[in-house]
Amino acid sequence: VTTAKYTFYSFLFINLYQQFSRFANIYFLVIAALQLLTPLSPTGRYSTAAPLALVLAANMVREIWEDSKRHKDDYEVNNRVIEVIRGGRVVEELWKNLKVGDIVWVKKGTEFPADLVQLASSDESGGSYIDTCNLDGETNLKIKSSLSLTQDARNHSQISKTRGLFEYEPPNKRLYTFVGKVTIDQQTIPVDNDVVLLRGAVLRNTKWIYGVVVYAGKQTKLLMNARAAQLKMSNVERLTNRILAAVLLFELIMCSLGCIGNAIWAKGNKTTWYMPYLESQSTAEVLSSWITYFILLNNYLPISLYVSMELAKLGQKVLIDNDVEMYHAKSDTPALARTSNLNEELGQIEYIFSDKTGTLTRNEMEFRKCFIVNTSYGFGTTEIGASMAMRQKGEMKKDPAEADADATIAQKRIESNHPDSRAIRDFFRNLSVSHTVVPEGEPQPNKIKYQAESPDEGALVSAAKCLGFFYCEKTAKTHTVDVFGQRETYEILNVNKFNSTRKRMSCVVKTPENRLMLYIKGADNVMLDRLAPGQSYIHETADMLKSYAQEGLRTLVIGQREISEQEWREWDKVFRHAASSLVDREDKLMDAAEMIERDITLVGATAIEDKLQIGVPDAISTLAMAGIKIWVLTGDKQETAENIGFACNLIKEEMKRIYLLEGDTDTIKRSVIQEMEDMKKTPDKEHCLIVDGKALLEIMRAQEEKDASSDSLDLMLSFLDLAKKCKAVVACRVSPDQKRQIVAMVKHNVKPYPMTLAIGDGANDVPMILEASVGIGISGNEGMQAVRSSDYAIAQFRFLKRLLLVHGRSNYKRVSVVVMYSLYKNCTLVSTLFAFGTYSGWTGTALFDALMLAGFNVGWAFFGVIIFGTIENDVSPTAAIAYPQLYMSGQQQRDFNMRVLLRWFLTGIYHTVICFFIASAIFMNMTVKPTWAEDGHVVFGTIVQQSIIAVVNLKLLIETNYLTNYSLFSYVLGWLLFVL
Amino acid sequence: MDTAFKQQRLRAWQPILTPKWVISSFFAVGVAFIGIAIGILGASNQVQELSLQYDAKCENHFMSWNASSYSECILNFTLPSNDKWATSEVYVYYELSNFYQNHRQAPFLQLNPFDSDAFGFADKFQDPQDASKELYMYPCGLVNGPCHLLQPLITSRRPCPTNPSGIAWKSDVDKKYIAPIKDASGLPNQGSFFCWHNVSDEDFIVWMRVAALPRFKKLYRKIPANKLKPGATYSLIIQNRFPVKDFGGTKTFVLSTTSWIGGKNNFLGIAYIVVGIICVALAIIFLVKHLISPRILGDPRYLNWK
Repeated sequence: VTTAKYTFYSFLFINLYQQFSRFANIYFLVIAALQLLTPLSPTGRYSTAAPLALVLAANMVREIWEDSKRHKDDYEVNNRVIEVIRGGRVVEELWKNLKVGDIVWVKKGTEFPADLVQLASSDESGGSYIDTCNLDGETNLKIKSSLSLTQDARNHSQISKTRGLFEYEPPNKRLYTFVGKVTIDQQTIPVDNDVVLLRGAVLRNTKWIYGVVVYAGKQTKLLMNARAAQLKMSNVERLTNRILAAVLLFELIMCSLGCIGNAIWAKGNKTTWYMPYLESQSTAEVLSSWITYFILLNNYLPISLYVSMELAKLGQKVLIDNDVEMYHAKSDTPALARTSNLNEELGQIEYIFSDKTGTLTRNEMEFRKCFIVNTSYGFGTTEIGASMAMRQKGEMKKDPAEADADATIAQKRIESNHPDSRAIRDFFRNLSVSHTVVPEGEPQPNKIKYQAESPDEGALVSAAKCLGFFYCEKTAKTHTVDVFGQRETYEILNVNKFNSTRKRMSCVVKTPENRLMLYIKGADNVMLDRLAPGQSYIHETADMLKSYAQEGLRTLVIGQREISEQEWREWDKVFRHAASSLVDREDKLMDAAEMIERDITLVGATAIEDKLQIGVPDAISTLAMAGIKIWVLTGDKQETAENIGFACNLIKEEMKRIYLLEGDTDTIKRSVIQEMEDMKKTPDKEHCLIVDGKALLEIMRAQEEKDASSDSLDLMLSFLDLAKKCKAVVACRVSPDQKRQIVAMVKHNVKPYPMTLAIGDGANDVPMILEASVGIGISGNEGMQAVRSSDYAIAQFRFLKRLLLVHGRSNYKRVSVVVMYSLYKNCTLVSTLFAFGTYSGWTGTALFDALMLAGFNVGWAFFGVIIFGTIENDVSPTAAIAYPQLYMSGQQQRDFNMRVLLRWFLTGIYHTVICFFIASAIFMNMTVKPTWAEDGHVVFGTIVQQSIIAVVNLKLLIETNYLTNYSLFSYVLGWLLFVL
Repeated sequence: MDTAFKQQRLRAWQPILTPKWVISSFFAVGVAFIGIAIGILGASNQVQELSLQYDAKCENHFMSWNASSYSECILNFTLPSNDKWATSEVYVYYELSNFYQNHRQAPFLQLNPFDSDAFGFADKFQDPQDASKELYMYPCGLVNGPCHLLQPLITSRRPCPTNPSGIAWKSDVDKKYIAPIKDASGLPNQGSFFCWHNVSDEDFIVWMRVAALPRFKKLYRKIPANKLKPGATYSLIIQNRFPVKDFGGTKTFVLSTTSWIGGKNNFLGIAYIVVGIICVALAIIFLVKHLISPRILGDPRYLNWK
């Protein structure tokens, strides 16, 4: 495996190719070639070639350094040793020599060397535990099983006798699916993700496993995923390229002016005897003077621009990474700038798209309430519920503490043969059996730890534990529950997994009484549709669910169904067939699950609280004051989403709420137009918009379909108009891909094109994080996928405030000034060269020595701007947060546009005029002091350049609002270097 | 991690440009500049300078550069009766105008005449005396013309030293302008080698230091103190061999004393005065504006964009 970018031989070619794909480098290469190869250069032969070589070499050194680290790592990884079974014996083999089909023997604590299918493990039932921290950052152990046909193999000879034929999909980067089947001894069984061990994961709590290599080396999923993050180019950088083009145009005009000046001067001075060649100046010579000017004036484009920009951004990245105010002590996570390209983009954000769970909330689930039969158990209210109560000004019908029975009552009711006792038992049995949680540690209620993939399941299992249904042991096929001291073992026959389309999960289990039960839980909208008709309390449950949702609780409906042996057998065939199919397995499994998940008996409902993170309301209202529009995109129900909106200050009571909920294109269109009209009538009122996934589907039709009708395009644009006028937008019931579509819709259709930021923590936020101009990952609980695809990672939502208002804002200003100043200083210097034409017959005589000219960019006027770009602060961080309005200048691109460029350029030309013409007037009128000998060309040039360096460094000093010893030192350093 | 630099808590001076600040600094700068200007003008006025343009007057005495006989153009002038002429060293300059020594294609810019590259550049020239012969000129780059100037422009009878010593840069004399060993390898073949001028001649060295602007003065001689008598009449004897008429130039003879600012330089002083006055004027305008309608600092009303 090679992750390195270059090999020894390809380095020079690839690196140079990459470097010269930058326009500026090509430009300077052309200049250098002109200087080296033609006698037309007025500034010596090496004055561009040398600094260009320096810039290129610096980049090469950096690349070599980075790549040699990769080479070293690769070497280390490739030469690790793993035990392979060949002909019944153990052979040691290097990782890099593993081939597909090799059977490896992996011991506890070892990393898997390739993607494996687990054949057998030290556990009799074939189970094993793995830790996938390297892959997705999730720290909970995951349980894997062995192929059922081979799991009995106990030793090397047995395993090596196994012959089988695997068929599976070609290498891909989907970490969580595997589609394949295996035929051993004429028996064919499906191979799915349960038996696949991915490279990068580590074997835990299991002595050993046998595995057969299915993907090796570069084809492993880890490496397929490891491609370098796509490079996002910042807006400022794009604009810089445009600005450079404008400057180049200006330069070409100046060249032409110089060339014309030259021709005219030569014509007027034909009779000059000491320059006999003027008499017969040919057109070619006039044109060659154009090239001379082109070489002379090449520095209008500063060779050091990209270098200074990159260095300054690197400095800014260090400041972001090390900011203590963005350090989360509890989880020991500092902020992390994964790229420094987008630092200034953080200062221009207009739209924030935020995930809810784990981003606004903590994603620490707490079981709060449940509803069984007709009673709601559990009491107390949530932060969100409290804020809702505040909103309704005490109009809550009943005090929650009175209305809701204490949860322990449920326990008592079970023991006391209460009429609901049976239902309560079913309810908690469901919770404690039907899940994918792995228990770890001693099977004691106080000592056990649950490793749950989803925090919801963890919370439910823990809740059941507290109420006497203690889930204590798990094997690959069974879950054992300790019910009030009595052990009951359930055999798990099938699991219909949770996914975001299904929004439910179910298990078919065989109870200790040999009954077949389907235990199911899921979101209310999908569950209520699947209930068996004619049940009591459906309405009561639905009402209660609504009131739970209003309190901001996440709700699940719990149901069950008894299945006859006959039905299960038939269905099991379908399920197995679906599970072993190679194509569309997901869909087929979903169809299979659909068949059995019907006629469900309602058992109850659960409500889980996901608390708001600290400081979210404050951060949101500050960001809103900064003119940033915040969209919350969540998969939650409308009520939950709305209440979260209230709780975190996004939606305020005085705002008018606009609802766009399901319906066909026409209805939505009508209501959009209607709302727009209404809005015009009440211009002072603030609005917020609540829209759901189904409505968005209609709205975004134009975005997704290429040949969209103008009708649907109209709808989308008028929706965006409406959304633009709203302070806040809450989109509920949206899928991960819809999140991305929403971001794309805003990014591409709102004009002028806004800067968008997406923030999220989970795998479901990855698409939108990648789509947005800036993607931010919350480095916290729900795995690392979001962080790995993000540009910046922070630990808490509230840090976003500081990241944008302090770092983003000042970085935008810094980078703007770095670019503008770089152009300005070169403009000042180079215009002087041009102005000298008035005294040198427009022949493009250089005023400065070549060395002096080259030194300007990399020496005399170099350090200051980098220090400036790193530490300048026009207002203190406290003030930037206290007055969020200051942020708006970035959104409106006030500090970086063509007008600003023009202002800087005119300043540069003005400084040229002052520096050059005053100096020359003084020189002409002066009888020089003898120590200067004569008014020589070199002396004059040096004096002019000296004054320019003093002026440009002074200009920077004036631009600096945050004058530290470092800055002062760097400005003076440039000047001192020159004097020396 | 928690260092002042990384947390952006460096000790820094964050000047806020309050009206008071702006007004007083403009005022201070203005006053300082006017002060400097007065000093410069004072010094400049102390400097005695006498210039005599002679190209028109000596028109009739023109002769070709290699003519062996010559007629001298004699210019008489009376030194003003100022003691400075006697008490300080007097510098003698020749001044040319409209002469583009800095022209890129002109040969003067080959700043190091002994650079081997420059040989290539200067290789073949026609012998000025015999057009059929080709010569390697040495020092290179000085195609015929300009050397005319090096013929003595003036010869004063007594006070002016005939020897041009101490007028060129010491480093030039010591390191740069050293006559080559004629048979050194790498030089063009001996037969056609023509060293047309003595390179260690300081007049030549001064000439070779390219002037920046088309109007320039070059130092010719230094007359020690107490040699000249104020009020006395002197003669300037000129061999007029350097034509300026066809490019519209002038030739001038300049005598000057010096002060701490160098030679006479009224422009510098005037420039300072102008800038100083502008600064003071701005200070007054700002002050008036501030008194009539002061703007409150840190007014959050200005935070509203659009």
